Amino acid sequence: MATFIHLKSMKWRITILLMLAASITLCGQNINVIKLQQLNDFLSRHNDTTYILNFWATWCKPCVKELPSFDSLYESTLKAKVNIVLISLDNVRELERKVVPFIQQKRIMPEVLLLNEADYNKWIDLVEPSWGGAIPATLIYNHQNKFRKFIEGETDFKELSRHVHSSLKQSSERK
Amino acid sequence: MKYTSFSILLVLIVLSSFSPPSGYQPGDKAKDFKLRSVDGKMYSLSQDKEAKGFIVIFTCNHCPFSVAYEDRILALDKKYKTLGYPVIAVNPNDERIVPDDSFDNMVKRAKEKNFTFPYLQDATQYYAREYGAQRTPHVYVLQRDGKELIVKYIGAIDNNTYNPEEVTERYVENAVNELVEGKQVSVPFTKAIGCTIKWKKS
Repeated sequence: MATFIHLKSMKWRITILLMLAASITLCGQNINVIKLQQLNDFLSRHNDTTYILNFWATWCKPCVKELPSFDSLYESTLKAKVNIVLISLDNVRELERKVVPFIQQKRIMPEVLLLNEADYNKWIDLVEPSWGGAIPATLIYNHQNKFRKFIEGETDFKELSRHVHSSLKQSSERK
Repeated sequence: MKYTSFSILLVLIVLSSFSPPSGYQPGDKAKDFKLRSVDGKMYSLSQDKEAKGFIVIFTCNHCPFSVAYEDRILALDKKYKTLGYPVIAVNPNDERIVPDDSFDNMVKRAKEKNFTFPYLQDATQYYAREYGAQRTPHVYVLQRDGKELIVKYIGAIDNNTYNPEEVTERYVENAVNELVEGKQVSVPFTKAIGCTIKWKKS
Protein backbone atom coordinates (compact mmCIF):
# COMPACT_ATOMS: atom_id res chain seq x y z
CA MET A 1 0.00 0.00 0.00
CA ALA A 2 2.76 2.33 1.04
CA THR A 3 4.62 1.58 -2.20
CA PHE A 4 1.46 2.30 -4.14
CA ILE A 5 1.05 5.69 -2.48
CA HIS A 6 4.68 6.39 -3.10
CA LEU A 7 4.31 5.53 -6.78
CA LYS A 8 1.23 7.64 -6.98
CA SER A 9 2.97 10.61 -5.46
CA MET A 10 5.91 10.04 -7.81
CA LYS A 11 3.47 10.17 -10.69
CA TRP A 12 2.06 13.35 -9.28
CA ARG A 13 5.49 14.83 -8.85
CA ILE A 14 6.33 14.04 -12.44
CA THR A 15 3.04 15.51 -13.59
CA ILE A 16 3.65 18.67 -11.57
CA LEU A 17 7.20 18.89 -12.88
CA LEU A 18 5.96 18.48 -16.45
CA MET A 19 3.33 21.15 -15.90
CA LEU A 20 5.92 23.48 -14.44
CA ALA A 21 8.24 22.90 -17.35
CA ALA A 22 5.44 23.55 -19.80
CA SER A 23 4.45 26.77 -18.08
CA ILE A 24 8.06 27.96 -18.04
CA THR A 25 8.33 27.29 -21.76
CA LEU A 26 5.06 29.12 -22.33
CA CYS A 27 6.26 32.06 -20.23
CA GLY A 28 9.31 32.36 -22.45
CA GLN A 29 7.09 32.70 -25.48
CA ASN A 30 4.77 35.24 -24.00
CA ILE A 31 4.93 38.64 -25.69
CA ASN A 32 3.65 41.62 -23.78
CA VAL A 33 2.10 44.48 -25.69
CA ILE A 34 3.32 47.85 -24.44
CA LYS A 35 2.39 51.47 -25.01
CA LEU A 36 4.39 54.68 -24.93
CA GLN A 37 4.23 54.86 -21.13
CA GLN A 38 6.02 51.53 -20.66
CA LEU A 39 8.60 52.43 -23.31
CA ASN A 40 9.24 55.63 -21.40
CA ASP A 41 9.64 53.65 -18.19
CA PHE A 42 12.35 51.61 -19.84
CA LEU A 43 14.12 54.65 -21.20
CA SER A 44 14.18 56.42 -17.86
CA ARG A 45 15.33 53.60 -15.57
CA HIS A 46 18.09 55.05 -13.48
CA ASN A 47 20.06 52.03 -12.34
CA ASP A 48 23.30 50.24 -13.05
CA THR A 49 21.83 47.89 -15.65
CA THR A 50 22.98 48.12 -19.24
CA TYR A 51 19.89 48.01 -21.42
CA ILE A 52 19.91 46.91 -25.03
CA LEU A 53 16.71 47.86 -26.84
CA ASN A 54 16.42 46.49 -30.33
CA PHE A 55 13.61 47.75 -32.57
CA TRP A 56 12.65 45.16 -35.15
CA ALA A 57 9.74 43.55 -37.03
CA THR A 58 9.08 40.12 -38.50
CA TRP A 59 8.71 41.68 -41.96
CA CYS A 60 12.09 43.41 -41.78
CA LYS A 61 14.71 41.11 -43.33
CA PRO A 62 17.85 42.74 -41.91
CA CYS A 63 16.18 42.71 -38.47
CA VAL A 64 15.46 38.99 -38.66
CA LYS A 65 18.99 38.37 -39.89
CA GLU A 66 20.57 40.00 -36.84
CA LEU A 67 18.30 38.40 -34.20
CA PRO A 68 20.70 35.48 -33.56
CA SER A 69 23.33 38.07 -32.52
CA PHE A 70 21.02 39.16 -29.69
CA ASP A 71 20.57 35.52 -28.70
CA SER A 72 24.35 35.08 -28.50
CA LEU A 73 24.66 38.32 -26.56
CA TYR A 74 21.98 37.09 -24.16
CA GLU A 75 23.89 33.87 -23.53
CA SER A 76 27.23 35.61 -23.10
CA THR A 77 25.89 38.20 -20.64
CA LEU A 78 23.67 36.00 -18.47
CA LYS A 79 25.65 36.76 -15.34
CA ALA A 80 26.12 40.47 -16.02
CA LYS A 81 23.76 43.35 -15.25
CA VAL A 82 22.48 43.38 -18.80
CA ASN A 83 18.91 43.46 -19.98
CA ILE A 84 18.15 42.77 -23.63
CA VAL A 85 14.68 43.67 -24.90
CA LEU A 86 13.53 43.07 -28.46
CA ILE A 87 10.79 45.56 -29.25
CA SER A 88 8.67 44.44 -32.17
CA LEU A 89 6.99 47.08 -34.30
CA ASP A 90 4.73 44.55 -35.96
CA ASN A 91 1.04 45.23 -36.28
CA VAL A 92 -0.60 44.28 -32.97
CA ARG A 93 -3.28 42.49 -35.00
CA GLU A 94 -0.62 40.07 -36.18
CA LEU A 95 0.67 39.25 -32.70
CA GLU A 96 -0.90 35.79 -32.41
CA ARG A 97 -0.81 34.89 -36.07
CA LYS A 98 2.69 36.04 -36.92
CA VAL A 99 4.87 37.34 -34.09
CA VAL A 100 4.25 34.60 -31.48
CA PRO A 101 4.82 31.68 -33.91
CA PHE A 102 7.92 33.45 -35.25
CA ILE A 103 9.44 33.80 -31.77
CA GLN A 104 8.56 30.19 -30.93
CA GLN A 105 10.02 28.84 -34.12
CA LYS A 106 13.24 30.83 -33.82
CA ARG A 107 13.50 30.06 -30.08
CA ILE A 108 14.39 33.63 -29.28
CA MET A 109 15.78 33.88 -25.73
CA PRO A 110 15.69 37.60 -24.80
CA GLU A 111 12.46 39.28 -23.73
CA VAL A 112 10.20 40.30 -26.62
CA LEU A 113 7.69 43.15 -26.37
CA LEU A 114 5.39 44.56 -29.02
CA LEU A 115 5.13 48.34 -29.04
CA ASN A 116 1.59 49.24 -30.04
CA GLU A 117 2.10 52.91 -30.87
CA ALA A 118 1.33 53.56 -34.51
CA ASP A 119 2.12 57.28 -34.32
CA TYR A 120 5.90 57.11 -34.61
CA ASN A 121 6.36 60.84 -34.35
CA LYS A 122 5.12 60.62 -30.78
CA TRP A 123 7.96 58.44 -29.55
CA ILE A 124 10.80 58.07 -32.04
CA ASP A 125 12.66 61.16 -30.75
CA LEU A 126 12.30 59.96 -27.18
CA VAL A 127 14.38 56.92 -28.08
CA GLU A 128 16.96 58.89 -30.05
CA PRO A 129 16.64 62.30 -31.73
CA SER A 130 19.02 61.33 -34.54
CA TRP A 131 16.97 58.25 -35.45
CA GLY A 132 15.66 58.70 -38.97
CA GLY A 133 13.09 55.95 -38.58
CA ALA A 134 14.66 52.96 -40.27
CA ILE A 135 14.76 49.57 -38.57
CA PRO A 136 16.65 47.68 -37.31
CA ALA A 137 17.72 50.19 -34.71
CA THR A 138 19.47 49.41 -31.43
CA LEU A 139 19.96 51.56 -28.36
CA ILE A 140 22.47 50.55 -25.69
CA TYR A 141 22.46 52.61 -22.51
CA ASN A 142 23.22 52.63 -18.84
CA HIS A 143 21.94 55.74 -17.10
CA GLN A 144 24.17 55.34 -14.09
CA ASN A 145 27.51 55.05 -15.86
CA LYS A 146 26.29 57.35 -18.69
CA PHE A 147 27.13 54.86 -21.44
CA ARG A 148 25.05 55.42 -24.56
CA LYS A 149 25.29 54.11 -28.10
CA PHE A 150 22.67 54.21 -30.84
CA ILE A 151 22.98 52.03 -33.94
CA GLU A 152 20.63 52.70 -36.85
CA GLY A 153 20.84 49.80 -39.26
CA GLU A 154 22.26 46.32 -39.00
CA THR A 155 24.60 45.28 -36.26
CA ASP A 156 26.29 42.00 -35.25
CA PHE A 157 27.40 40.12 -32.18
CA LYS A 158 30.93 41.55 -32.30
CA GLU A 159 29.75 45.17 -32.33
CA LEU A 160 27.07 44.58 -29.68
CA SER A 161 29.50 42.73 -27.47
CA ARG A 162 32.09 45.48 -27.77
CA HIS A 163 29.62 48.18 -26.68
CA VAL A 164 28.17 46.13 -23.85
CA HIS A 165 31.64 45.42 -22.53
CA SER A 166 32.57 49.11 -22.69
CA SER A 167 29.49 49.85 -20.63
CA LEU A 168 30.24 47.09 -18.09
CA LYS A 169 33.82 48.32 -17.84
CA GLN A 170 32.61 51.86 -17.19
CA SER A 171 30.42 50.50 -14.40
CA SER A 172 33.21 48.56 -12.73
CA GLU A 173 35.56 51.55 -12.92
CA ARG A 174 33.06 53.64 -10.99
CA LYS A 175 33.09 51.23 -8.11
CA MET B 1 2.87 70.08 -17.14
CA LYS B 2 6.02 72.11 -16.50
CA TYR B 3 7.98 68.91 -16.91
CA THR B 4 6.25 68.11 -20.21
CA SER B 5 6.97 71.50 -21.73
CA PHE B 6 10.54 71.24 -20.51
CA SER B 7 10.96 67.83 -22.18
CA ILE B 8 9.46 69.18 -25.39
CA LEU B 9 11.90 72.08 -25.25
CA LEU B 10 14.75 69.70 -24.59
CA VAL B 11 13.75 67.52 -27.55
CA LEU B 12 13.55 70.63 -29.73
CA ILE B 13 17.00 71.80 -28.63
CA VAL B 14 18.49 68.37 -29.30
CA LEU B 15 16.70 68.21 -32.65
CA SER B 16 17.87 71.64 -33.76
CA SER B 17 21.46 70.89 -32.79
CA PHE B 18 21.40 67.71 -34.83
CA SER B 19 22.18 68.23 -38.49
CA PRO B 20 20.99 65.45 -40.79
CA PRO B 21 23.80 63.96 -42.87
CA SER B 22 22.56 64.85 -46.35
CA GLY B 23 19.56 65.31 -48.57
CA TYR B 24 16.89 67.98 -48.75
CA GLN B 25 15.33 70.03 -46.00
CA PRO B 26 12.00 71.82 -46.33
CA GLY B 27 12.70 75.02 -48.29
CA ASP B 28 15.42 73.49 -50.49
CA LYS B 29 15.27 73.41 -54.28
CA ALA B 30 14.54 69.94 -55.59
CA LYS B 31 16.16 68.45 -58.66
CA ASP B 32 13.98 67.40 -61.55
CA PHE B 33 14.51 63.81 -62.59
CA LYS B 34 14.43 61.77 -65.72
CA LEU B 35 13.52 58.18 -65.00
CA ARG B 36 11.82 55.27 -66.72
CA SER B 37 8.21 54.67 -65.74
CA VAL B 38 6.29 51.40 -65.83
CA ASP B 39 4.87 52.33 -69.27
CA GLY B 40 8.44 52.17 -70.60
CA LYS B 41 8.63 55.94 -71.23
CA MET B 42 11.02 58.37 -69.59
CA TYR B 43 9.35 60.78 -67.19
CA SER B 44 10.50 64.11 -65.81
CA LEU B 45 8.71 66.60 -63.58
CA SER B 46 9.25 69.47 -66.02
CA GLN B 47 7.17 67.78 -68.71
CA ASP B 48 3.99 68.28 -66.65
CA LYS B 49 3.45 71.96 -67.40
CA GLU B 50 0.06 72.12 -65.68
CA ALA B 51 1.18 70.88 -62.29
CA LYS B 52 1.52 73.37 -59.44
CA GLY B 53 3.64 70.86 -57.61
CA PHE B 54 4.14 67.16 -57.01
CA ILE B 55 3.72 64.55 -54.31
CA VAL B 56 6.93 62.56 -54.84
CA ILE B 57 6.80 59.26 -52.96
CA PHE B 58 9.80 56.97 -52.67
CA THR B 59 8.12 53.59 -52.35
CA CYS B 60 8.48 50.03 -53.56
CA ASN B 61 6.78 46.68 -54.16
CA HIS B 62 8.09 44.51 -51.37
CA CYS B 63 7.98 46.62 -48.20
CA PRO B 64 4.88 45.87 -46.08
CA PHE B 65 4.68 49.55 -45.12
CA SER B 66 4.57 50.56 -48.78
CA VAL B 67 1.96 47.91 -49.50
CA ALA B 68 -0.11 49.11 -46.52
CA TYR B 69 -0.10 52.60 -48.05
CA GLU B 70 -0.85 51.67 -51.68
CA ASP B 71 -4.56 52.44 -51.50
CA ARG B 72 -3.91 55.69 -49.67
CA ILE B 73 -1.34 56.68 -52.31
CA LEU B 74 -3.95 56.02 -55.01
CA ALA B 75 -6.45 58.15 -53.06
CA LEU B 76 -3.91 60.98 -52.75
CA ASP B 77 -3.36 60.96 -56.51
CA LYS B 78 -7.09 60.92 -57.20
CA LYS B 79 -7.77 63.81 -54.85
CA TYR B 80 -4.80 66.06 -55.61
CA LYS B 81 -4.15 65.51 -59.32
CA THR B 82 -7.14 67.69 -60.12
CA LEU B 83 -5.86 70.33 -57.67
CA GLY B 84 -2.51 70.42 -59.47
CA TYR B 85 -0.48 68.11 -57.23
CA PRO B 86 -0.19 64.66 -58.84
CA VAL B 87 1.56 61.71 -57.21
CA ILE B 88 4.89 60.54 -58.66
CA ALA B 89 6.05 57.21 -57.20
CA VAL B 90 9.76 56.34 -57.35
CA ASN B 91 11.20 52.93 -56.51
CA PRO B 92 14.83 53.35 -55.37
CA ASN B 93 15.61 49.77 -54.29
CA ASP B 94 18.40 47.73 -55.83
CA GLU B 95 16.64 44.90 -57.64
CA ARG B 96 19.63 42.64 -57.14
CA ILE B 97 19.05 42.80 -53.39
CA VAL B 98 15.25 42.67 -53.63
CA PRO B 99 14.12 40.88 -56.81
CA ASP B 100 10.51 41.83 -55.94
CA ASP B 101 11.48 45.39 -56.80
CA SER B 102 12.70 44.64 -60.33
CA PHE B 103 11.35 46.76 -63.18
CA ASP B 104 9.23 43.85 -64.45
CA ASN B 105 7.70 43.37 -61.02
CA MET B 106 7.00 47.11 -60.81
CA VAL B 107 5.12 46.89 -64.11
CA LYS B 108 3.17 43.93 -62.74
CA ARG B 109 2.27 45.64 -59.45
CA ALA B 110 1.22 48.86 -61.23
CA LYS B 111 -1.15 46.79 -63.41
CA GLU B 112 -2.55 44.78 -60.49
CA LYS B 113 -3.33 47.89 -58.46
CA ASN B 114 -4.25 50.10 -61.45
CA PHE B 115 -1.75 52.80 -60.55
CA THR B 116 -3.02 56.13 -61.89
CA PHE B 117 0.40 57.78 -61.46
CA PRO B 118 3.87 57.27 -62.94
CA TYR B 119 5.86 54.59 -61.12
CA LEU B 120 9.51 55.25 -61.85
CA GLN B 121 12.61 53.16 -61.28
CA ASP B 122 15.55 55.03 -59.77
CA ALA B 123 17.92 52.35 -61.01
CA THR B 124 21.12 54.24 -60.14
CA GLN B 125 19.66 55.45 -56.80
CA TYR B 126 20.98 58.90 -57.71
CA TYR B 127 17.71 60.70 -56.91
CA ALA B 128 17.04 58.87 -53.65
CA ARG B 129 20.51 60.00 -52.51
CA GLU B 130 20.05 63.52 -53.85
CA TYR B 131 16.67 63.90 -52.08
CA GLY B 132 17.94 62.17 -48.94
CA ALA B 133 15.27 59.48 -48.93
CA GLN B 134 15.99 56.78 -46.35
CA ARG B 135 12.91 54.63 -46.19
CA THR B 136 9.89 53.46 -48.11
CA PRO B 137 7.47 55.10 -48.19
CA HIS B 138 9.14 58.50 -47.84
CA VAL B 139 7.26 61.53 -49.15
CA TYR B 140 8.53 64.82 -50.61
CA VAL B 141 5.85 67.41 -51.40
CA LEU B 142 7.20 69.88 -53.97
CA GLN B 143 5.74 73.21 -55.06
CA ARG B 144 6.53 74.87 -58.35
CA ASP B 145 7.93 78.38 -58.08
CA GLY B 146 8.63 79.67 -61.60
CA LYS B 147 11.15 77.22 -62.98
CA GLU B 148 12.13 75.90 -59.57
CA LEU B 149 10.65 73.13 -57.47
CA ILE B 150 10.71 73.88 -53.75
CA VAL B 151 10.51 71.16 -51.08
CA LYS B 152 7.56 71.96 -48.81
CA TYR B 153 7.11 68.77 -46.82
CA ILE B 154 9.25 65.71 -46.03
CA GLY B 155 8.11 62.66 -44.11
CA ALA B 156 5.32 60.20 -43.53
CA ILE B 157 1.96 60.02 -45.27
CA ASP B 158 -0.04 59.97 -42.04
CA ASN B 159 0.26 58.82 -38.45
CA ASN B 160 -1.03 55.26 -38.62
CA THR B 161 0.47 52.80 -41.07
CA TYR B 162 -1.41 49.68 -40.08
CA ASN B 163 -4.91 51.03 -39.48
CA PRO B 164 -6.05 53.66 -41.97
CA GLU B 165 -9.29 54.07 -40.03
CA GLU B 166 -7.38 55.13 -36.93
CA VAL B 167 -5.42 57.90 -38.64
CA THR B 168 -5.68 61.23 -36.82
CA GLU B 169 -3.01 63.27 -38.65
CA ARG B 170 -2.94 63.31 -42.44
CA TYR B 171 0.45 64.97 -42.89
CA VAL B 172 0.62 64.92 -46.69
CA GLU B 173 -3.01 65.94 -47.16
CA ASN B 174 -2.64 68.76 -44.65
CA ALA B 175 0.52 70.00 -46.35
CA VAL B 176 -0.97 69.96 -49.85
CA ASN B 177 -4.24 71.52 -48.63
CA GLU B 178 -2.24 74.37 -47.13
CA LEU B 179 -0.29 74.83 -50.37
CA VAL B 180 -3.50 74.83 -52.41
CA GLU B 181 -4.90 77.51 -50.08
CA GLY B 182 -1.74 79.58 -50.50
CA LYS B 183 -0.65 79.04 -46.90
CA GLN B 184 2.65 77.97 -45.38
CA VAL B 185 2.91 74.29 -44.53
CA SER B 186 2.46 74.12 -40.76
CA VAL B 187 4.10 70.70 -40.30
CA PRO B 188 6.90 70.57 -42.90
CA PHE B 189 8.75 67.58 -41.45
CA THR B 190 7.83 64.28 -39.81
CA LYS B 191 9.61 61.03 -39.18
CA ALA B 192 8.26 57.62 -39.99
CA ILE B 193 9.37 54.08 -39.59
CA GLY B 194 9.57 52.12 -42.78
CA CYS B 195 11.79 49.71 -44.66
CA THR B 196 15.30 50.95 -45.31
CA ILE B 197 16.07 51.70 -48.92
CA LYS B 198 18.09 48.78 -50.22
CA TRP B 199 21.27 50.50 -51.36
CA LYS B 200 23.56 48.90 -53.91
CA LYS B 201 26.54 47.22 -52.39
CA SER B 202 29.62 49.15 -53.46
